[in-house]
Amino acid sequence: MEIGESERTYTVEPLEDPVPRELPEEAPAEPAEAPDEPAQVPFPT
Amino acid sequence: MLAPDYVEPTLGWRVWDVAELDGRLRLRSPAFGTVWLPRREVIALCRRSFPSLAAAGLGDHRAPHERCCCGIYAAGRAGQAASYLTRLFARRPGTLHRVIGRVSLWGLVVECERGWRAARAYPASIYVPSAGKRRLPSPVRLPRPLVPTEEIALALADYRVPVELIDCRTKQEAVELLEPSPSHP
Repeated sequence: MEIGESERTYTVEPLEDPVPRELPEEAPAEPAEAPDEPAQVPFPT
Repeated sequence: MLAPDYVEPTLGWRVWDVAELDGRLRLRSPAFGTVWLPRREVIALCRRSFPSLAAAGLGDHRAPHERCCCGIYAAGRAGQAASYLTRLFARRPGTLHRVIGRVSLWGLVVECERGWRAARAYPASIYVPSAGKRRLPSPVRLPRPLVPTEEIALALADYRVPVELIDCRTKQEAVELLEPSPSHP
């Protein structure tokens, strides 16, 4: 493409990503409630 | 770390081939055949050979370099880019049509007299010329698509940017639609 001679150089860091990227997969949800029964811990012998 | 000069991408115009690759329609650079994948920016790479770089007094560098010719090209006006709608290139395998659009440019950008060369780019909008059905002399007429333009537009929706059909038979008609002249009261 004929765009002529270089005139100046600058930097661009867009605030918003110009690329509509894939949305990251949702992390598995944390369990909403604690288990009904406490885990049984053996007594020390 | 230096602050950037701008926080909005530069918007230019360019033309892409539409090609069928692995059963999907994709944008491809007419000149170098670079494939533009959906949801992934194109990153510039200087392809100049070492002897050519040395002759120009340049070493290895990140594209674009102000004194090189590397980078992703975009024109400042739709009319400049539209000349590539009719310009003949060796038709690469799988090429179905040629489209025009706006392109976001960012990273390092070299501003030139009539456009830019940039480090990173992604389409911002895509216009699919219909090329019409009325017969016109071939040097004037836009190339006819090899598949229906509606099908092309639907497939290019993969890029998740606006895709629009434009009803035009010549480059001039395309430019008038894309860059209408300011009306005078």
